[in-house]
Amino acid sequence: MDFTQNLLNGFALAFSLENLGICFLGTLIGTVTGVLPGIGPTAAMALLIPVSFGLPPTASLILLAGIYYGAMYGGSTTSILLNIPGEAASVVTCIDGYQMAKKGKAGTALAVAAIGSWAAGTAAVIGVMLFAPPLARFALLFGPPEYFSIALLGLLVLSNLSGGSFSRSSLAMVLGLMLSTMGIDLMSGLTRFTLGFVELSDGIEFAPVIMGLFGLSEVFQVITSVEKPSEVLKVKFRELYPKFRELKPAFGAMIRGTLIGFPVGLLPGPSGTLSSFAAYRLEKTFSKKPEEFGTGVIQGVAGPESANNSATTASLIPLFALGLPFAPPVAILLSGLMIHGISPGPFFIRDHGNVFWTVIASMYLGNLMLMILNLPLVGVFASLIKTPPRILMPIITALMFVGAYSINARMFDVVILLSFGLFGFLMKKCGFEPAPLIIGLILGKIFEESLRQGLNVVDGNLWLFFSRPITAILMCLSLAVFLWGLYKWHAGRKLSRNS
Amino acid sequence: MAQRLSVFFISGILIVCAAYFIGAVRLPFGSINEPGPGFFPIIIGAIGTILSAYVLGESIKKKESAREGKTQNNALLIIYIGSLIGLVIFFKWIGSLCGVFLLVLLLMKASRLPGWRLPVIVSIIASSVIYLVFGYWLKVSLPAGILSGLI
Repeated sequence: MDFTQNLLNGFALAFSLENLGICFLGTLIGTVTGVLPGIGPTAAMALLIPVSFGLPPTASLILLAGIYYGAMYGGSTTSILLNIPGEAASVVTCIDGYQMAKKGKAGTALAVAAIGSWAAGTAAVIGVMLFAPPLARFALLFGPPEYFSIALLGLLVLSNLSGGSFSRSSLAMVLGLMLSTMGIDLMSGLTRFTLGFVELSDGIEFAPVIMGLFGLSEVFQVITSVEKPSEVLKVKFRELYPKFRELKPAFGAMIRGTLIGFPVGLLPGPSGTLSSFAAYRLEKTFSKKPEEFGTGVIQGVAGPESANNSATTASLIPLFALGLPFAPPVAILLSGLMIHGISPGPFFIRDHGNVFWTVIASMYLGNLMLMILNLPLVGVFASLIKTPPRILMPIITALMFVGAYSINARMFDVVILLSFGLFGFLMKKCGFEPAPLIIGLILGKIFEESLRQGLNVVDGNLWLFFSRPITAILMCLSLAVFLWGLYKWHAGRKLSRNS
Repeated sequence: MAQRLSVFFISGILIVCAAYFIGAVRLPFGSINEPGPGFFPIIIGAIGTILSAYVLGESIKKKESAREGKTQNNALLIIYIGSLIGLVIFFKWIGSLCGVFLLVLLLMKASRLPGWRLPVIVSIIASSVIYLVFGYWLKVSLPAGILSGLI
């Protein structure tokens, strides 16, 4: 079957009533979670993992992916109307978006954000469609040393970029790696670190850990800090349709944002956030009037919003082609697939072509749904921020409780949820980010297996890793990233000693 | 208080890492060309122990403070955790429908939501929707508990 045939098949399946409904639900939940500060896409996806269990694998992936890219749309609404970023990738949008809103141009800013997000998201889906299958075919040549070096680079970049200090992020990552070693060692059949719990013999369940670290810990964070409700700037419906002369300068920014976001999305780390900052910087650098940035410039909204959507979609390429999640929400997508017995990686597109192409088709539809949803309903979404946490948080807590229980119909998973909820809360209080822990946990198995198999292949001679070109390049990059982290840590120490 | 929490938390991590390392040493290490099940855990156990000791030292030396929220409401956190533990213990007996209803109601009242009508209505809707989604749509076998004769 050729490319067009695959895509048409994907569309035929995506247009089924169930998949359309699930896609709509995913994008709607994504938008709502993007709007609500505190509950980010990772928490929302973690919350919905148990729901995805009962769905077919394709529908489950459509739901989780919809939440992921939907959150990027929703995040811009509160950034523009309230100066509160719904999620980290929308921080930059606050700078010029809120200023535009204060000048009475909230409608223009929201429309540009929605159009830019749609255009970039759609363009990036084309990129995924074009690049993921050949990359997966290329990855068939990879052996354990290549996988080890990709996982090593991913872990090192993430511990550098996930926020917080290098030492703390590295420690969180190591804790994740430790958790990944729980259960039966597949290479020797020996049981490790189960602490006598039979439930841990298959390893620790990802879903309650993720739900605890990103969902329940957020609930604890919200209930322990009382904040004042925010004032929402009002937007008239007719203001949502900007004039062509207002839109014209935004087109270039949208294209540049899409182009910069796509490659950033392929890198390990919080690509949505990084790409939006990079796009803002780019717009400012190439602007004829850089001094106007920060006062309500349309390019300052169009560029970052396009970039974060492009990056979010592009981050699916390493997952689909290599089976490696480089960001926490993508790690949740991976666990959502693994629950259905599907392992993303080089064989995924070949063996589960229907799933891949239907998800791709659903992403085109989802992006369109999001634009249609976001423009007229922007006021409704913005008013959601007024929902009192004292109503929302108990419901989310109960949903997580039943969700964790429903994974295996056992209370053990709820205990894990509760333990990691508390642990995640304490982590954040003490300056640790939970993202490296999750990535360590998810990549840990691949990392250990490829290291042990790789050492077997090279007969214990680590230098032979460097004789394989891809491994050599990735190992050198890993070394560079590690040295950069050490340099940053050393410079930080020096600075604090001097001050 | 905040700094003590940070030191206490990192000390806990240090103990866990050290215990993990001791557990890892007991596993067969294998050799460099044929690594055993203890090979990887020993390496990460050692790195974890050293890193946590370093972070602990850093935390004590800098007199660093843990992140403070705008207003702390630790009593509510204790109520949340206590009610979740309570539900873990009594979930099978009380059943999911009643359990979720009571949990949502208790947490809303503990969060000082005024009146009874709104909390009760929200609790009934939340518990029913959760039961319908998980019990009927997703066919999860949720415990019926005290309502076993009715549902």
